[in-house]
Amino acid sequence: MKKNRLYHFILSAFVLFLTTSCEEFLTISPDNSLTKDEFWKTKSDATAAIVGVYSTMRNNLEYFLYWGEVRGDLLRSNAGKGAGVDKEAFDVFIVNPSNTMTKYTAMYSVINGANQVIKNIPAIEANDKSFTRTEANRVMGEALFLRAYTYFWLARSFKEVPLTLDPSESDAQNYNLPKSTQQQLFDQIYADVKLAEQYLPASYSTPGETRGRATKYAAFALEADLDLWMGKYQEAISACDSIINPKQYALLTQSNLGNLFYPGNTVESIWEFQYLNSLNQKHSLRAWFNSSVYFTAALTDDLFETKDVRKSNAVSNAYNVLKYNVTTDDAHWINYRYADVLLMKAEALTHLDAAGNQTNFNAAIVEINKVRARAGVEPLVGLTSIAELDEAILDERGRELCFEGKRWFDLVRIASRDNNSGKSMLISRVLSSFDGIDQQIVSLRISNPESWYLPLNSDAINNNTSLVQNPYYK
Amino acid sequence: MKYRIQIKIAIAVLFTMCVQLSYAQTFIVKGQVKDAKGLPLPGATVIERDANNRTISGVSTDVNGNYQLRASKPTAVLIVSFIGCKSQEVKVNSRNLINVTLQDNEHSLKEVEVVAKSTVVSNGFLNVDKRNLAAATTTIKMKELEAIPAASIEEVLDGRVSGLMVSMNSGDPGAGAMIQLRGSGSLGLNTKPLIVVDGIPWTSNIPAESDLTSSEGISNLLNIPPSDIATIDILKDAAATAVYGSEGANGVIAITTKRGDNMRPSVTLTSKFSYTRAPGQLPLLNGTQYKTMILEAYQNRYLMEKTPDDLFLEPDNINYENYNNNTDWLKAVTRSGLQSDNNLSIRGGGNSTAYSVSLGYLSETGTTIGTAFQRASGRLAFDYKVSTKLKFTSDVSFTNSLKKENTSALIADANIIAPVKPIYAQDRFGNNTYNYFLNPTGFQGGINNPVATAYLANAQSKSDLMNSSVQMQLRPNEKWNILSVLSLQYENAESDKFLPQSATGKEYTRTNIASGVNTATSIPKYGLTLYQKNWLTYNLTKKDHTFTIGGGTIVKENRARSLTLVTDNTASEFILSPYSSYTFSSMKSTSSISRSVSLTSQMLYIFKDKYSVQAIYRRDGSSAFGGKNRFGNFPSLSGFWRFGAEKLTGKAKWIDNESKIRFSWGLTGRAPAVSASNYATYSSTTNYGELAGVKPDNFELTTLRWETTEQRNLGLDLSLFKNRFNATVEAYDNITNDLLWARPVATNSGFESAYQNFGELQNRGIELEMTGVVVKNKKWRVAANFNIYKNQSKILSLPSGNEISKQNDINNGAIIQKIRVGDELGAFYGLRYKGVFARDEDAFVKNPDGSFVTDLTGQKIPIRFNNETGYIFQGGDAIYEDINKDGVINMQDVVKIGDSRPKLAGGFGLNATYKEFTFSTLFSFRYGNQIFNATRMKTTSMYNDNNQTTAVMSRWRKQGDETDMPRALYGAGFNWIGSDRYVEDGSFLRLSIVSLSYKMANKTVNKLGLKSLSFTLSGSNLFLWTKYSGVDPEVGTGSNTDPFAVGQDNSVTPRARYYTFSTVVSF
Repeated sequence: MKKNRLYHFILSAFVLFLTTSCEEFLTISPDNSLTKDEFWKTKSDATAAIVGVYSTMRNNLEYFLYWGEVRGDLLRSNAGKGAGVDKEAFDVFIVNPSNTMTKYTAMYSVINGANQVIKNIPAIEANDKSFTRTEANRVMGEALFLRAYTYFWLARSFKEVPLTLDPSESDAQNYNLPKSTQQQLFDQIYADVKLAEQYLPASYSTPGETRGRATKYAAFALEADLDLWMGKYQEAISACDSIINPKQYALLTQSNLGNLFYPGNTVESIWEFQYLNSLNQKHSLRAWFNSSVYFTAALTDDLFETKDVRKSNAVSNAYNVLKYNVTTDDAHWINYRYADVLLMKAEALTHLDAAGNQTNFNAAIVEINKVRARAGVEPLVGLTSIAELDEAILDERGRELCFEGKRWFDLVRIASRDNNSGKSMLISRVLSSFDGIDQQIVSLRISNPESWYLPLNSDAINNNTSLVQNPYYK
Repeated sequence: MKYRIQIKIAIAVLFTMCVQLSYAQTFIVKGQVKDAKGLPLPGATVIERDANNRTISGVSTDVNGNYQLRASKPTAVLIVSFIGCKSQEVKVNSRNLINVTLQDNEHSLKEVEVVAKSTVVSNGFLNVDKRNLAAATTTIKMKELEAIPAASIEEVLDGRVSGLMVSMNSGDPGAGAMIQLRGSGSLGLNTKPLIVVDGIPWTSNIPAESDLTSSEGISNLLNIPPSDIATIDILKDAAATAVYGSEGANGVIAITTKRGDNMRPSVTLTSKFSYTRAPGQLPLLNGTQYKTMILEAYQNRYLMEKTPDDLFLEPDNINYENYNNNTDWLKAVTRSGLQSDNNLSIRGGGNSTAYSVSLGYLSETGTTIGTAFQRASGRLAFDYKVSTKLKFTSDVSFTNSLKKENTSALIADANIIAPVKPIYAQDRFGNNTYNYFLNPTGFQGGINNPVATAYLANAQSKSDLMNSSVQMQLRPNEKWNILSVLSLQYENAESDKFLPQSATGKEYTRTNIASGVNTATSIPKYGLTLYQKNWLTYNLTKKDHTFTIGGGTIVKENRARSLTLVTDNTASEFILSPYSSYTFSSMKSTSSISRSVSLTSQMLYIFKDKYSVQAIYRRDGSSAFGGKNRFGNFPSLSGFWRFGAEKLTGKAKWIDNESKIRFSWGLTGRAPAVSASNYATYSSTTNYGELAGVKPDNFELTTLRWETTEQRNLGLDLSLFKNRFNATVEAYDNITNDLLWARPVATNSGFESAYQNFGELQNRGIELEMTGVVVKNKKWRVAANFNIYKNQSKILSLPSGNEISKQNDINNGAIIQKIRVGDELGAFYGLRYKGVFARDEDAFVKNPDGSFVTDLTGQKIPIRFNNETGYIFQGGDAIYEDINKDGVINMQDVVKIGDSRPKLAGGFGLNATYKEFTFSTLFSFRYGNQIFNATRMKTTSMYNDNNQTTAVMSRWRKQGDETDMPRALYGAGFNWIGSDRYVEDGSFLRLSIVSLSYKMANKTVNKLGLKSLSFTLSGSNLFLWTKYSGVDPEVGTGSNTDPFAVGQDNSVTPRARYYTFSTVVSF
């Protein structure tokens, strides 16, 4: 009997083990990351989360170049010099859905980051009493702004993409979202940016943050940019004026122009991505431009007048890009700056009256000439039609903002106006950077305005059952 | 003889100290103990035991072998024993003088070995003879293989086991292998079988993703020297693997190492020395042929005579001599290698203890320059019987290995580097200087001088592995058995890489830019596995009924960490390590912890030793899953009928009793190696300016569940003519459901991929293994073995879309691989290659009748690539079949062009012994598999500055040339798209091993004072019969983790030929 008791004990030990400790033993929370339940508790969590969104946003730099610049007429991708087939394809408008540069996952991780912040701010506010209303609004404003800016990139590049305002938290959610129209996207961006204008501060405690994080002026700049696309010219002008009038910003002087991108954070800059070599924050712009992966189109060279100081800052005689070309890899990337705002205002003034209005034209020329004066070139005179001004503004934007991720969108925005009335302008400008047989091929492609937008990547289509390919690529 | 006596005395002294003296004085017995040869045995023990097997008195014999003992009663029973001799029980029967002669234990030792082999504990059942299992297993006895020059068990297994596919990752020393049992049962999880050593699973949990130089990693199998192994059991079906928990789902390779026994100390020294040679290489163009080809490629592209830098053309150029050579780069990077493998083992033991100690050292230089492998290993196995009821076992082993590699794949580099370049830089007169020729920029600037890389750069992996386990076995009586095991496995590894400026010639700048100059990388990593197993069995045998029930728990924890440190521009070429740096250009770390629990109950019933039913029910929990799906239930059922034992009327006499029919059915489950995917997590991201940020990592996986395989197996074991002929046939059908794979998710979620359950995969096949003793007489013994198998891995269902594709687009240099419903796993897709357009005017769209299609204006329509505005094909360009007849070659023309899995595979061999000589061979073969020859694609593309094979000599050169090799065309055209042109038959027959050994006759050996002595001359991998045009159809063509990385030849080092001389001596 004694023996039996021993076995009973052993058996019951087994049974005990079965029933009690298993669940606990198998529950392991990760040791190198925070779980959803552990995060979103304090003010510092909110700050860390929003900083993470900026950091994620910054990863899209190469997309900015391809989507916004390479398809334009000023920057070419150098065939056979290491850019790779996918990237070279951008240059000649043979972008297939399988092209890796059409992936927008990195953009949506910014959107997801922003959505997470927007959803969780109220909970943090309730939990952490030291998190003031102003601070909560500020973080909320930054998240709204970053979401708006990202969707703005997507809407301009793909025209139609899924619109999601919910954070991605679990595999039980439905991610098979259909595309929203460009108008729906613009409306959401407009709503977000309007809120952001209210929530965001005029400045932060350090110069790096004031230039590196979203301020209400950055939101006004984004609004102006969007207004130009939506044809809200009056609103665009007042948004620009909201930036111009407080005199917080100014054009850099000629001699200081080199400081714009490096070390950056100048008085001209409204919002720029921060990079710090010492903290391992680098980009590959210099490597790309140095290794001849890109070169500038010949016409970029011709665009500049001889006295223009901007030329030596932008292009070399060997068609290399010089912007961002400093000794280290942490030149800043500028999203909005004062010169851009002046030119946006000029564009809004030009189109304010659909029939054309010389008073407005003159006001627009004044703005353009501010930018020209800084560059050391003669002021413009005698422009009397919308078409003339459009061309002048395009040229000026090319000289001022080349390689800053704006060119292609400038072309498309102006060409799309009034039912693609500027189509021939876009075609002729793009073709002027090609020669021979390439001209024919490219001209065939871009004569269809649907081709101005990128295809949705086949990965995006394959993994989202509700997505339909963009019309040109069906 | 002298030392033998010394050892005997030493041991005698030890034993005298151990044996207790008796107190009772009732009956005196004395006498002498002698060995079989009549010599007195000093130090033999004579003890009396009571009914409970307790020692009540005992003495040991003196120097002359005499003893005197006081027995408790005249009817007492004495046990006389001596190390290395058979113990004897002697009934006193009132005698006062009892002389005992002890027999040598060696015969019994052999028997013990046989028994030990047949009662494999490794399947978890205790006290169940292996012959009573209904599962599909194959056993390899290593005794025959001692002299074979294998550094790893993978090499031993290749071609020996039906259903086991082994593909070496490369021929470099220390390279790992892809091992798959019964096909690939999973898509996204590792398909390598579980390795079990002496009952304890070995799992390398070191994070593989941070592996530095290759995807091979350091094979964990490699760390057990083959000479330490007694047997290897390959457990194939659900019934066999069930007791190992979910880790056994891919099958189990159970290794039993040699242990000590009740025997005299036996010292064995195994020494192997091999000379290795690389097999043939690709025939490449020489400098002159290359130059002609390049000039032609430029001419065809740019329509003018020109090269990238006009280096070949201008004799006045300062570098002219450096670009006008005939260098045989393949010869420069290959050499013959040497391997030496020495192993010393000492085994022995007494009644209550047994020990086995072994030490080994292997050193090998590879057939590619710059490669080498060294391994030192040690192992101690110790068994101690406290009493007949309690036994402890303790095993400790360690391995220290060092693998030297190159920073890039040298063979692949040598295949493409221009033969016009010299190894050493040349002066203006064409004389070699003492410096390597380096041109980091300009012509072929991306390819480093492979010889300079091998000698100046540094890439090595170090690994230290420590395994230790303690087992306790309690057997209170015949019926109950309790086993408790605790083991700890610790692995510490480090991969280092340094490519100095002197090997690349890149410009050295001190700025902090990732320029690839003096880049030092170091990846330290460690992994720890804690394993605990408790098992309880109850045995009941009554007349015809044998009944065993049991059950237990397995608890396991894995912890692993790794760090990747990179520094650029270290201040000097001699600062090889990033640790000496102040700043890191990149730093990455991983950390993981995972746990699993397995609760098992099992039942076995045998009736009349002929009929049996066995069942296992397992409940597995893994920390990889969330609360709801954490546990999976995995039952299995098996049984057999030993029809050979039936006294059936009309039964042929030559059918042995052991013949049986088996069946098994069962479920097995797999979990991903990751943990905590059931949380939405956030982790640190790069700072933004000076601010620190956090970003979301993934979303919570709430629906993830176990990947489950339903396995069915039917087996037949035939034993004929008194065990002279044995055959085993297995048929199986395994269906995996809820396949787990980290697959892309909707990209608008902001995440790339997540583990998902989807689809169904079927593996079914037939296996046959036969062994037979063909001749057996006094002088001759000839045995033959043969195995063959067929496995089919088929996709039954996938989520929407019905296919998973690796490459979505046709392009030069790429093949499309798809996993598609209804297809075999590992299929290739691509265009159909139809030769070369002889003339420009042939490259127009044609009607089926051969006439040209014209457009509305009467113009012929050119054949284009990709779309109606794409590249126009011309004379000398490749012809691809326009499957959909739309005049455009694009994705719509892609068809299935090959299967990477063999239709049949196996091996056969012969073992013939004549007197003292033994001759043995082993062949292995695969039939009906295709290989995508990526090496040929790259070396016949004529698209860039890369060197090409001599096959391109037959290229198209002018209008009207009829050939099937397209023209040279620099950086343009679509002449090397993945097509059936590069898909080749990979069938082969390999003479894996041939050996001749001489084992000295016992008489002669004994005169020398030795136990045995043998010499073997062997060769491995000596011949290969194949139609495959590449170097080796087997190497580097498989992967356990990537279902797409199959059947591709990417110019890795081929398997070397080994010529080995080995000596085994024991005393």
